[in-house]
Amino acid sequence: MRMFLRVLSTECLKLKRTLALWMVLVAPLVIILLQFAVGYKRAPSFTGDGKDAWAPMVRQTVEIWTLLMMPMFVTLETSLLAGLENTGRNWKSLLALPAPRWTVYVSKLVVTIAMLWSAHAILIAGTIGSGTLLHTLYPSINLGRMPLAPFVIPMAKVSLAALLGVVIQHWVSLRWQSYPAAMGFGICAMILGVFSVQSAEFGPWFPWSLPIHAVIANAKGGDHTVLASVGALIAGGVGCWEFVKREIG
Amino acid sequence: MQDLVISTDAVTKQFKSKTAVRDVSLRVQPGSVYAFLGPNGAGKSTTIRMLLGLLRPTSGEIALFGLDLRQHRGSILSRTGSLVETPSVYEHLSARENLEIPRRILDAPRSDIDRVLAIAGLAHAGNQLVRTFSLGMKQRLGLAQALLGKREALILDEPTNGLDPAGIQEMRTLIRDLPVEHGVTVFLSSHLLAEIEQLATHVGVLSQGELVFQGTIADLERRRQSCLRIGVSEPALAIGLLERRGWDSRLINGFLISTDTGAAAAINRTLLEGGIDVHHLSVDAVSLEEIFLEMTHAEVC
Repeated sequence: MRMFLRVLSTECLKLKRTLALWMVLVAPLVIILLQFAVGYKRAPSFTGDGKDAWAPMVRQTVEIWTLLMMPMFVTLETSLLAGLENTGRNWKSLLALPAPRWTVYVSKLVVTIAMLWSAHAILIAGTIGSGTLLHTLYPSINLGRMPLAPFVIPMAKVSLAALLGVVIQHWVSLRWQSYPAAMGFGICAMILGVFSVQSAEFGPWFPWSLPIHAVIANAKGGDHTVLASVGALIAGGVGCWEFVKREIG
Repeated sequence: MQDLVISTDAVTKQFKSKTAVRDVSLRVQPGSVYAFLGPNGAGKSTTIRMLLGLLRPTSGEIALFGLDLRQHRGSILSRTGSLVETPSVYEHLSARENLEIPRRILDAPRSDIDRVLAIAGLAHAGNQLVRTFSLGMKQRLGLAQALLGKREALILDEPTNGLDPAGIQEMRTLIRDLPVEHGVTVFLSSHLLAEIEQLATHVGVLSQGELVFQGTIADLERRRQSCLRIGVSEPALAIGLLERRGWDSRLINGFLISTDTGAAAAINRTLLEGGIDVHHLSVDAVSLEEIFLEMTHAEVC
Protein backbone atom coordinates (compact mmCIF):
# COMPACT_ATOMS: atom_id res chain seq x y z
CA MET A 1 0.00 0.00 0.00
CA ARG A 2 2.87 2.36 0.77
CA MET A 3 4.31 1.71 -2.68
CA PHE A 4 0.90 2.43 -4.25
CA LEU A 5 0.76 5.78 -2.45
CA ARG A 6 4.29 6.59 -3.58
CA VAL A 7 3.42 5.81 -7.20
CA LEU A 8 0.19 7.80 -6.86
CA SER A 9 2.17 10.79 -5.62
CA THR A 10 4.46 10.56 -8.66
CA GLU A 11 1.42 10.52 -10.95
CA CYS A 12 0.23 13.71 -9.27
CA LEU A 13 3.68 15.26 -9.71
CA LYS A 14 3.61 14.45 -13.44
CA LEU A 15 0.47 16.60 -13.80
CA LYS A 16 2.41 19.74 -13.04
CA ARG A 17 2.26 22.26 -15.91
CA THR A 18 0.09 19.94 -18.04
CA LEU A 19 -2.94 20.66 -20.18
CA ALA A 20 -4.61 17.71 -18.44
CA LEU A 21 -4.61 19.60 -15.15
CA TRP A 22 -5.85 22.82 -16.76
CA MET A 23 -8.69 20.90 -18.39
CA VAL A 24 -10.10 20.10 -14.95
CA LEU A 25 -10.82 23.80 -14.66
CA VAL A 26 -11.44 24.68 -18.30
CA ALA A 27 -13.98 21.95 -19.20
CA PRO A 28 -16.55 22.76 -16.47
CA LEU A 29 -15.87 26.48 -16.94
CA VAL A 30 -16.95 26.21 -20.58
CA ILE A 31 -20.31 24.80 -19.49
CA ILE A 32 -20.65 27.32 -16.66
CA LEU A 33 -19.90 30.24 -18.97
CA LEU A 34 -22.26 28.87 -21.61
CA GLN A 35 -25.03 28.54 -19.06
CA PHE A 36 -24.30 32.00 -17.71
CA ALA A 37 -24.35 33.50 -21.22
CA VAL A 38 -27.67 31.79 -22.01
CA GLY A 39 -29.13 32.86 -18.66
CA TYR A 40 -27.89 36.43 -19.10
CA LYS A 41 -29.38 36.65 -22.60
CA ARG A 42 -32.71 35.19 -21.55
CA ALA A 43 -32.84 36.96 -18.20
CA PRO A 44 -35.43 39.52 -19.26
CA SER A 45 -37.85 36.76 -20.30
CA PHE A 46 -37.52 35.14 -16.86
CA THR A 47 -38.31 38.37 -15.12
CA GLY A 48 -41.48 38.32 -13.15
CA ASP A 49 -42.66 34.81 -13.88
CA GLY A 50 -41.73 33.78 -10.36
CA LYS A 51 -40.74 30.23 -11.21
CA ASP A 52 -37.70 28.63 -9.62
CA ALA A 53 -34.91 29.21 -12.16
CA TRP A 54 -32.46 26.84 -10.47
CA ALA A 55 -34.24 23.67 -11.61
CA PRO A 56 -33.95 24.26 -15.40
CA MET A 57 -30.46 25.67 -14.99
CA VAL A 58 -29.25 22.64 -13.04
CA ARG A 59 -30.99 20.20 -15.37
CA GLN A 60 -29.46 21.77 -18.48
CA THR A 61 -26.03 21.91 -16.88
CA VAL A 62 -26.13 18.27 -15.85
CA GLU A 63 -27.43 17.12 -19.24
CA ILE A 64 -25.00 19.09 -21.39
CA TRP A 65 -22.11 18.06 -19.20
CA THR A 66 -23.09 14.41 -19.04
CA LEU A 67 -24.01 13.90 -22.65
CA LEU A 68 -21.37 15.97 -24.44
CA MET A 69 -18.64 17.51 -22.37
CA MET A 70 -17.88 14.69 -19.97
CA PRO A 71 -17.19 12.00 -22.63
CA MET A 72 -14.88 14.42 -24.44
CA PHE A 73 -13.26 15.36 -21.15
CA VAL A 74 -12.64 11.73 -20.21
CA THR A 75 -11.26 10.93 -23.67
CA LEU A 76 -8.94 13.92 -23.58
CA GLU A 77 -7.77 13.38 -20.01
CA THR A 78 -7.01 9.67 -20.43
CA SER A 79 -5.20 10.37 -23.70
CA LEU A 80 -3.17 13.19 -22.18
CA LEU A 81 -2.24 11.11 -19.14
CA ALA A 82 -1.21 8.14 -21.28
CA GLY A 83 0.60 10.59 -23.56
CA LEU A 84 2.90 11.53 -20.68
CA GLU A 85 4.38 8.06 -20.97
CA ASN A 86 3.80 7.42 -24.67
CA THR A 87 5.36 10.66 -25.96
CA GLY A 88 8.75 10.17 -24.36
CA ARG A 89 8.56 6.38 -24.64
CA ASN A 90 8.72 6.43 -20.87
CA TRP A 91 7.06 3.07 -20.23
CA LYS A 92 10.32 1.17 -20.35
CA SER A 93 11.96 3.24 -17.64
CA LEU A 94 8.80 3.57 -15.55
CA LEU A 95 8.17 -0.18 -15.59
CA ALA A 96 11.83 -0.95 -14.92
CA LEU A 97 11.41 0.69 -11.51
CA PRO A 98 10.65 -1.59 -8.55
CA ALA A 99 6.98 -0.60 -8.27
CA PRO A 100 4.53 -3.44 -9.04
CA ARG A 101 2.87 -2.79 -12.37
CA TRP A 102 -0.63 -2.76 -10.96
CA THR A 103 0.29 0.28 -8.85
CA VAL A 104 1.09 2.21 -12.04
CA TYR A 105 -2.14 1.18 -13.74
CA VAL A 106 -4.36 1.85 -10.76
CA SER A 107 -2.62 5.15 -9.89
CA LYS A 108 -3.24 6.51 -13.35
CA LEU A 109 -6.86 5.41 -13.15
CA VAL A 110 -7.29 6.99 -9.72
CA VAL A 111 -5.81 10.25 -11.03
CA THR A 112 -8.24 10.24 -13.98
CA ILE A 113 -11.22 9.62 -11.71
CA ALA A 114 -10.01 12.26 -9.26
CA MET A 115 -9.74 14.78 -12.10
CA LEU A 116 -13.25 13.91 -13.32
CA TRP A 117 -14.74 14.27 -9.86
CA SER A 118 -12.81 17.50 -9.29
CA ALA A 119 -14.29 18.82 -12.53
CA HIS A 120 -17.74 17.87 -11.18
CA ALA A 121 -17.05 19.77 -7.97
CA ILE A 122 -15.96 22.79 -10.00
CA LEU A 123 -19.08 22.45 -12.16
CA ILE A 124 -21.33 22.48 -9.09
CA ALA A 125 -19.49 25.37 -7.43
CA GLY A 126 -19.27 27.32 -10.68
CA THR A 127 -22.96 26.85 -11.49
CA ILE A 128 -23.93 28.09 -8.04
CA GLY A 129 -21.57 31.04 -8.49
CA SER A 130 -22.90 31.82 -11.94
CA GLY A 131 -26.54 31.60 -10.72
CA THR A 132 -25.75 33.83 -7.79
CA LEU A 133 -24.14 36.36 -10.12
CA LEU A 134 -27.17 36.25 -12.42
CA HIS A 135 -29.41 36.81 -9.43
CA THR A 136 -27.28 39.79 -8.40
CA LEU A 137 -27.51 41.25 -11.90
CA TYR A 138 -31.22 40.43 -12.26
CA PRO A 139 -32.73 40.21 -8.76
CA SER A 140 -36.13 39.48 -10.27
CA ILE A 141 -34.93 36.05 -11.48
CA ASN A 142 -35.88 33.44 -8.94
CA LEU A 143 -32.31 32.32 -8.18
CA GLY A 144 -32.25 32.58 -4.47
CA ARG A 145 -30.54 30.19 -2.14
CA MET A 146 -29.90 27.04 -4.14
CA PRO A 147 -31.03 23.72 -2.66
CA LEU A 148 -27.85 21.66 -3.02
CA ALA A 149 -29.39 18.20 -3.10
CA PRO A 150 -31.11 18.49 -6.55
CA PHE A 151 -27.71 19.31 -8.04
CA VAL A 152 -25.33 17.24 -5.95
CA ILE A 153 -27.33 14.00 -6.08
CA PRO A 154 -27.55 13.83 -9.91
CA MET A 155 -23.89 14.78 -10.19
CA ALA A 156 -22.97 12.07 -7.68
CA LYS A 157 -24.94 9.58 -9.79
CA VAL A 158 -23.19 10.80 -12.94
CA SER A 159 -19.83 10.49 -11.17
CA LEU A 160 -20.47 6.84 -10.40
CA ALA A 161 -22.24 5.98 -13.64
CA ALA A 162 -19.31 7.40 -15.66
CA LEU A 163 -16.84 4.99 -14.07
CA LEU A 164 -17.32 2.16 -16.55
CA GLY A 165 -16.64 4.44 -19.52
CA VAL A 166 -13.64 5.94 -17.72
CA VAL A 167 -12.15 2.52 -16.99
CA ILE A 168 -12.59 1.35 -20.59
CA GLN A 169 -11.18 4.58 -22.02
CA HIS A 170 -8.26 4.37 -19.56
CA TRP A 171 -7.38 0.89 -20.79
CA VAL A 172 -7.66 1.92 -24.44
CA SER A 173 -5.36 4.91 -23.89
CA LEU A 174 -2.71 2.76 -22.24
CA ARG A 175 -3.10 -0.14 -24.65
CA TRP A 176 -2.45 1.72 -27.92
CA GLN A 177 0.35 4.20 -27.69
CA SER A 178 -1.09 6.79 -30.03
CA TYR A 179 -3.38 9.77 -29.58
CA PRO A 180 -5.43 9.07 -32.73
CA ALA A 181 -6.36 5.57 -31.53
CA ALA A 182 -7.45 6.68 -28.08
CA MET A 183 -9.14 9.88 -29.27
CA GLY A 184 -10.86 8.07 -32.16
CA PHE A 185 -12.18 5.41 -29.81
CA GLY A 186 -13.43 8.02 -27.32
CA ILE A 187 -15.14 10.14 -29.97
CA CYS A 188 -16.83 7.11 -31.56
CA ALA A 189 -17.96 5.95 -28.13
CA MET A 190 -19.33 9.40 -27.36
CA ILE A 191 -21.30 9.57 -30.64
CA LEU A 192 -22.69 6.08 -30.07
CA GLY A 193 -23.54 7.11 -26.53
CA VAL A 194 -25.51 10.14 -27.76
CA PHE A 195 -27.48 8.00 -30.21
CA SER A 196 -28.03 5.07 -27.87
CA VAL A 197 -29.57 7.32 -25.21
CA GLN A 198 -32.73 7.11 -27.28
CA SER A 199 -32.55 3.32 -27.53
CA ALA A 200 -34.60 1.54 -24.92
CA GLU A 201 -32.73 -1.66 -25.78
CA PHE A 202 -29.09 -0.54 -25.68
CA GLY A 203 -29.21 2.83 -23.92
CA PRO A 204 -29.48 1.55 -20.37
CA TRP A 205 -26.47 -0.75 -20.90
CA PHE A 206 -24.07 1.18 -23.11
CA PRO A 207 -21.22 2.48 -20.89
CA TRP A 208 -21.27 5.96 -22.43
CA SER A 209 -25.04 6.38 -22.01
CA LEU A 210 -25.18 5.03 -18.48
CA PRO A 211 -24.43 8.45 -16.90
CA ILE A 212 -27.32 10.20 -18.63
CA HIS A 213 -29.64 7.27 -17.88
CA ALA A 214 -28.59 7.55 -14.24
CA VAL A 215 -30.12 11.03 -14.07
CA ILE A 216 -33.15 10.54 -16.31
CA ALA A 217 -36.26 10.18 -14.20
CA ASN A 218 -37.85 6.70 -14.48
CA ALA A 219 -35.10 5.41 -16.73
CA LYS A 220 -35.21 1.71 -17.49
CA GLY A 221 -32.47 -0.79 -16.77
CA GLY A 222 -32.23 -0.82 -12.99
CA ASP A 223 -29.72 1.10 -10.93
CA HIS A 224 -27.26 2.53 -13.44
CA THR A 225 -24.81 3.67 -10.81
CA VAL A 226 -24.53 0.16 -9.38
CA LEU A 227 -24.32 -1.33 -12.87
CA ALA A 228 -21.55 1.08 -13.88
CA SER A 229 -19.66 0.65 -10.62
CA VAL A 230 -19.70 -3.14 -10.76
CA GLY A 231 -18.85 -3.03 -14.48
CA ALA A 232 -15.98 -0.64 -13.74
CA LEU A 233 -14.59 -2.97 -11.08
CA ILE A 234 -14.67 -5.93 -13.45
CA ALA A 235 -13.34 -4.00 -16.46
CA GLY A 236 -10.69 -2.37 -14.25
CA GLY A 237 -9.57 -5.76 -12.97
CA VAL A 238 -9.34 -7.22 -16.46
CA GLY A 239 -7.53 -4.13 -17.81
CA CYS A 240 -5.07 -4.18 -14.92
CA TRP A 241 -4.40 -7.89 -15.41
CA GLU A 242 -3.69 -7.30 -19.11
CA PHE A 243 -1.39 -4.37 -18.26
CA VAL A 244 0.57 -6.43 -15.72
CA LYS A 245 1.06 -9.23 -18.25
CA ARG A 246 1.91 -6.90 -21.12
CA GLU A 247 5.34 -7.06 -22.72
CA ILE A 248 7.14 -3.76 -23.25
CA GLY A 249 9.08 -4.01 -26.49
CA MET B 1 25.89 -18.03 -9.76
CA GLN B 2 25.84 -16.34 -6.34
CA ASP B 3 28.87 -14.17 -7.08
CA LEU B 4 27.60 -12.96 -10.40
CA VAL B 5 25.70 -9.69 -10.73
CA ILE B 6 23.87 -10.92 -13.84
CA SER B 7 23.58 -14.52 -14.88
CA THR B 8 21.29 -15.95 -17.51
CA ASP B 9 20.86 -19.57 -18.32
CA ALA B 10 20.01 -20.48 -21.92
CA VAL B 11 17.60 -17.57 -22.32
CA THR B 12 15.55 -17.65 -25.49
CA LYS B 13 12.99 -15.15 -26.74
CA GLN B 14 10.68 -16.02 -29.57
CA PHE B 15 8.41 -13.48 -31.28
CA LYS B 16 5.86 -15.50 -33.24
CA SER B 17 8.02 -17.24 -35.87
CA LYS B 18 11.18 -15.21 -35.22
CA THR B 19 13.73 -16.18 -32.59
CA ALA B 20 15.21 -12.88 -31.43
CA VAL B 21 17.50 -14.38 -28.77
CA ARG B 22 18.61 -18.00 -28.57
CA ASP B 23 20.18 -19.81 -25.60
CA VAL B 24 22.03 -16.79 -24.25
CA SER B 25 23.96 -17.48 -21.05
CA LEU B 26 25.50 -14.29 -19.70
CA ARG B 27 27.98 -14.12 -16.83
CA VAL B 28 28.58 -10.61 -15.49
CA GLN B 29 31.14 -10.27 -12.72
CA PRO B 30 30.77 -7.69 -9.96
CA GLY B 31 32.72 -4.46 -10.53
CA SER B 32 33.04 -5.06 -14.24
CA VAL B 33 32.02 -2.99 -17.22
CA TYR B 34 30.46 -5.66 -19.41
CA ALA B 35 29.97 -4.64 -23.00
CA PHE B 36 27.23 -6.41 -24.87
CA LEU B 37 28.30 -6.07 -28.43
CA GLY B 38 26.49 -6.90 -31.62
CA PRO B 39 25.26 -5.40 -34.87
CA ASN B 40 21.86 -3.72 -35.02
CA GLY B 41 19.12 -6.33 -34.82
CA ALA B 42 21.33 -8.93 -33.12
CA GLY B 43 19.02 -9.13 -30.10
CA LYS B 44 20.81 -6.85 -27.63
CA SER B 45 17.79 -4.68 -26.78
CA THR B 46 15.56 -7.75 -26.47
CA THR B 47 18.02 -9.29 -24.01
CA ILE B 48 18.23 -6.05 -22.01
CA ARG B 49 14.44 -5.78 -21.85
CA MET B 50 14.32 -9.33 -20.51
CA LEU B 51 16.96 -8.48 -17.87
CA LEU B 52 14.70 -5.61 -16.73
CA GLY B 53 11.54 -7.68 -16.71
CA LEU B 54 9.98 -5.72 -19.56
CA LEU B 55 9.85 -8.83 -21.74
CA ARG B 56 9.40 -12.40 -20.54
CA PRO B 57 11.82 -15.01 -21.86
CA THR B 58 10.22 -17.81 -23.82
CA SER B 59 12.57 -20.18 -22.02
CA GLY B 60 15.61 -20.00 -19.75
CA GLU B 61 16.36 -18.42 -16.40
CA ILE B 62 17.45 -14.91 -15.47
CA ALA B 63 19.05 -14.05 -12.15
CA LEU B 64 20.48 -10.81 -10.84
CA PHE B 65 22.48 -10.72 -7.61
CA GLY B 66 21.78 -14.44 -7.38
CA LEU B 67 18.01 -13.85 -7.21
CA ASP B 68 15.51 -15.17 -9.71
CA LEU B 69 14.02 -12.24 -11.64
CA ARG B 70 10.49 -13.65 -11.73
CA GLN B 71 10.33 -14.15 -7.99
CA HIS B 72 12.31 -11.12 -6.79
CA ARG B 73 11.52 -8.48 -9.43
CA GLY B 74 11.00 -5.62 -6.96
CA SER B 75 14.10 -6.30 -4.92
CA ILE B 76 16.26 -6.72 -8.04
CA LEU B 77 14.98 -3.59 -9.76
CA SER B 78 15.54 -1.50 -6.63
CA ARG B 79 19.23 -2.44 -6.92
CA THR B 80 19.40 -2.07 -10.72
CA GLY B 81 19.35 1.22 -12.59
CA SER B 82 18.65 1.32 -16.28
CA LEU B 83 18.80 3.52 -19.32
CA VAL B 84 17.13 1.91 -22.30
CA GLU B 85 17.97 3.59 -25.62
CA THR B 86 16.63 7.13 -25.56
CA PRO B 87 16.36 8.74 -22.12
CA SER B 88 12.84 8.56 -20.69
CA VAL B 89 12.14 12.03 -19.39
CA TYR B 90 9.12 14.25 -18.82
CA GLU B 91 9.93 17.35 -20.82
CA HIS B 92 7.44 19.57 -18.99
CA LEU B 93 9.16 18.92 -15.67
CA SER B 94 12.48 20.19 -14.39
CA ALA B 95 15.47 17.87 -14.02
CA ARG B 96 14.93 17.81 -10.27
CA GLU B 97 11.22 16.95 -10.69
CA ASN B 98 12.16 14.21 -13.15
CA LEU B 99 14.46 12.72 -10.55
CA GLU B 100 11.82 13.10 -7.85
CA ILE B 101 9.68 10.47 -9.63
CA PRO B 102 12.11 7.53 -9.30
CA ARG B 103 13.27 8.89 -5.93
CA ARG B 104 9.78 8.54 -4.47
CA ILE B 105 9.34 5.05 -5.91
CA LEU B 106 12.75 3.98 -4.65
CA ASP B 107 12.10 5.72 -1.31
CA ALA B 108 15.57 7.27 -1.55
CA PRO B 109 16.51 10.31 0.54
CA ARG B 110 15.95 13.74 -1.01
CA SER B 111 19.67 14.46 -0.83
CA ASP B 112 20.19 11.72 -3.39
CA ILE B 113 18.91 14.03 -6.10
CA ASP B 114 21.78 16.45 -5.50
CA ARG B 115 24.24 13.55 -5.45
CA VAL B 116 23.20 12.14 -8.82
CA LEU B 117 22.85 15.59 -10.40
CA ALA B 118 26.47 16.21 -9.41
CA ILE B 119 27.64 12.85 -10.77
CA ALA B 120 25.87 13.53 -14.08
CA GLY B 121 27.28 17.05 -14.27
CA LEU B 122 23.83 18.62 -14.10
CA ALA B 123 24.05 20.33 -10.71
CA HIS B 124 23.68 23.73 -12.42
CA ALA B 125 20.59 22.67 -14.38
CA GLY B 126 18.51 21.03 -11.67
CA ASN B 127 15.67 23.54 -11.82
CA GLN B 128 15.71 23.91 -15.60
CA LEU B 129 12.81 22.44 -17.58
CA VAL B 130 13.98 19.36 -19.45
CA ARG B 131 12.42 20.59 -22.71
CA THR B 132 15.29 23.11 -22.85
CA PHE B 133 17.94 20.37 -22.51
CA SER B 134 20.18 19.17 -25.31
CA LEU B 135 20.09 15.45 -26.12
CA GLY B 136 23.39 15.03 -24.27
CA MET B 137 21.94 16.63 -21.13
CA LYS B 138 18.83 14.43 -21.38
CA GLN B 139 21.03 11.37 -21.70
CA ARG B 140 22.99 12.43 -18.61
CA LEU B 141 19.71 13.00 -16.79
CA GLY B 142 18.71 9.47 -17.78
CA LEU B 143 21.95 8.22 -16.26
CA ALA B 144 21.29 10.28 -13.11
CA GLN B 145 17.86 8.59 -12.84
CA ALA B 146 19.54 5.22 -13.18
CA LEU B 147 21.95 6.06 -10.36
CA LEU B 148 19.32 7.16 -7.83
CA GLY B 149 19.06 5.10 -4.69
CA LYS B 150 21.31 2.22 -3.77
CA ARG B 151 22.00 0.87 -7.24
CA GLU B 152 24.54 -1.89 -7.48
CA ALA B 153 24.18 -2.52 -11.19
CA LEU B 154 23.45 -0.36 -14.20
CA ILE B 155 21.98 -1.72 -17.41
CA LEU B 156 22.50 0.70 -20.26
CA ASP B 157 21.20 0.15 -23.77
CA GLU B 158 23.25 2.06 -26.33
CA PRO B 159 23.89 4.93 -23.91
CA THR B 160 25.79 7.07 -26.42
CA ASN B 161 23.23 6.76 -29.22
CA GLY B 162 22.45 10.08 -30.85
CA LEU B 163 25.03 12.06 -28.91
CA ASP B 164 27.52 14.44 -30.50
CA PRO B 165 31.25 13.63 -30.13
CA ALA B 166 31.60 15.76 -26.99
CA GLY B 167 28.51 14.17 -25.45
CA ILE B 168 29.81 10.70 -26.30
CA GLN B 169 33.11 11.44 -24.58
CA GLU B 170 31.36 12.83 -21.47
CA MET B 171 29.09 9.80 -21.25
CA ARG B 172 31.99 7.38 -21.68
CA THR B 173 33.98 9.10 -18.94
CA LEU B 174 30.98 8.92 -16.63
CA ILE B 175 30.40 5.23 -17.32
CA ARG B 176 34.07 4.29 -17.04
CA ASP B 177 34.33 5.90 -13.60
CA LEU B 178 31.20 4.27 -12.16
CA PRO B 179 32.65 0.92 -10.99
CA VAL B 180 35.67 2.52 -9.33
CA GLU B 181 34.07 5.62 -7.82
CA HIS B 182 30.60 4.32 -7.04
CA GLY B 183 31.00 0.55 -6.83
CA VAL B 184 28.48 -0.07 -9.58
CA THR B 185 28.68 -2.94 -12.06
CA VAL B 186 27.87 -1.75 -15.56
CA PHE B 187 26.26 -3.80 -18.31
CA LEU B 188 26.00 -1.83 -21.51
CA SER B 189 25.08 -2.67 -25.05
CA SER B 190 26.71 -1.12 -28.04
CA HIS B 191 27.38 -1.74 -31.68
CA LEU B 192 30.51 0.42 -31.58
CA LEU B 193 33.70 -1.52 -31.02
CA ALA B 194 35.76 1.62 -30.40
CA GLU B 195 33.45 2.38 -27.48
CA ILE B 196 33.94 -1.06 -26.03
CA GLU B 197 37.73 -0.85 -26.31
CA GLN B 198 37.66 2.36 -24.27
CA LEU B 199 35.17 1.29 -21.62
CA ALA B 200 34.84 -2.41 -21.08
CA THR B 201 36.59 -4.97 -18.97
CA HIS B 202 34.44 -7.82 -20.29
CA VAL B 203 32.73 -8.43 -23.60
CA GLY B 204 29.85 -10.54 -24.84
CA VAL B 205 29.32 -10.67 -28.59
CA LEU B 206 25.84 -11.37 -29.85
CA SER B 207 25.20 -12.37 -33.43
CA GLN B 208 21.79 -13.19 -34.85
CA GLY B 209 20.47 -13.77 -31.35
CA GLU B 210 23.29 -16.06 -30.25
CA LEU B 211 26.16 -15.32 -27.87
CA VAL B 212 29.21 -16.11 -29.98
CA PHE B 213 31.87 -14.87 -27.56
CA GLN B 214 32.07 -14.04 -23.89
CA GLY B 215 35.20 -13.15 -21.96
CA THR B 216 37.56 -10.38 -20.99
CA ILE B 217 38.92 -7.82 -23.40
CA ALA B 218 42.25 -9.65 -23.01
CA ASP B 219 40.57 -12.89 -24.16
CA LEU B 220 39.32 -11.05 -27.19
CA GLU B 221 42.75 -9.56 -27.85
CA ARG B 222 44.24 -13.05 -27.85
CA ARG B 223 42.17 -13.79 -30.91
CA ARG B 224 44.23 -11.31 -32.84
CA GLN B 225 46.48 -12.92 -35.40
CA SER B 226 48.38 -11.91 -38.49
CA CYS B 227 46.42 -11.70 -41.69
CA LEU B 228 46.89 -10.78 -45.28
CA ARG B 229 45.00 -7.62 -46.23
CA ILE B 230 44.37 -7.29 -49.96
CA GLY B 231 42.79 -4.35 -51.76
CA VAL B 232 41.41 -5.39 -55.15
CA SER B 233 39.33 -3.91 -57.95
CA GLU B 234 36.67 -6.62 -57.98
CA PRO B 235 36.33 -8.24 -54.54
CA ALA B 236 33.57 -10.70 -55.40
CA LEU B 237 35.46 -12.06 -58.40
CA ALA B 238 38.67 -12.19 -56.37
CA ILE B 239 37.06 -14.22 -53.56
CA GLY B 240 35.81 -16.75 -56.09
CA LEU B 241 39.15 -16.93 -57.84
CA LEU B 242 41.07 -17.45 -54.59
CA GLU B 243 38.57 -20.03 -53.40
CA ARG B 244 39.09 -22.07 -56.56
CA ARG B 245 42.80 -22.06 -55.80
CA GLY B 246 42.20 -23.21 -52.21
CA TRP B 247 42.61 -19.90 -50.35
CA ASP B 248 39.84 -18.81 -47.99
CA SER B 249 39.20 -15.11 -47.77
CA ARG B 250 36.53 -12.77 -46.44
CA LEU B 251 35.58 -9.27 -47.41
CA ILE B 252 35.86 -7.01 -44.37
CA ASN B 253 35.84 -3.22 -44.49
CA GLY B 254 36.49 -3.27 -48.25
CA PHE B 255 39.56 -5.50 -48.02
CA LEU B 256 39.95 -9.19 -48.63
CA ILE B 257 41.30 -10.76 -45.44
CA SER B 258 43.11 -14.06 -45.66
CA THR B 259 44.91 -15.83 -42.85
CA ASP B 260 47.35 -17.48 -45.24
CA THR B 261 50.08 -14.85 -44.85
CA GLY B 262 52.75 -17.12 -46.32
CA ALA B 263 51.00 -17.15 -49.67
CA ALA B 264 51.09 -13.39 -50.23
CA ALA B 265 53.17 -13.55 -53.40
CA ALA B 266 51.21 -16.47 -54.88
CA ILE B 267 47.87 -14.80 -54.13
CA ASN B 268 49.05 -11.55 -55.68
CA ARG B 269 50.21 -13.36 -58.81
CA THR B 270 46.96 -15.32 -59.07
CA LEU B 271 44.85 -12.19 -58.82
CA LEU B 272 46.89 -10.31 -61.42
CA GLU B 273 46.81 -13.27 -63.80
CA GLY B 274 43.06 -13.41 -63.27
CA GLY B 275 42.77 -9.81 -64.51
CA ILE B 276 42.06 -8.31 -61.08
CA ASP B 277 43.95 -5.17 -60.09
CA VAL B 278 45.62 -5.30 -56.69
CA HIS B 279 46.04 -1.83 -55.14
CA HIS B 280 46.92 -2.91 -51.60
CA LEU B 281 48.72 -5.90 -50.13
CA SER B 282 49.99 -6.04 -46.58
CA VAL B 283 50.49 -8.42 -43.69
CA ASP B 284 48.79 -6.92 -40.61
CA ALA B 285 47.45 -7.90 -37.23
CA VAL B 286 43.69 -8.43 -37.31
CA SER B 287 41.96 -5.53 -35.58
CA LEU B 288 39.32 -6.04 -32.88
CA GLU B 289 36.81 -4.65 -35.33
CA GLU B 290 37.69 -7.34 -37.83
CA ILE B 291 37.42 -10.01 -35.14
CA PHE B 292 34.00 -8.62 -34.28
CA LEU B 293 32.90 -8.57 -37.91
CA GLU B 294 34.21 -12.10 -38.36
CA MET B 295 32.27 -13.29 -35.31
CA THR B 296 29.08 -11.60 -36.35
CA HIS B 297 29.44 -12.55 -40.01
CA ALA B 298 28.97 -8.91 -40.89
CA GLU B 299 30.48 -7.58 -44.07
CA VAL B 300 31.17 -3.90 -44.31
CA CYS B 301 32.30 -2.77 -47.76
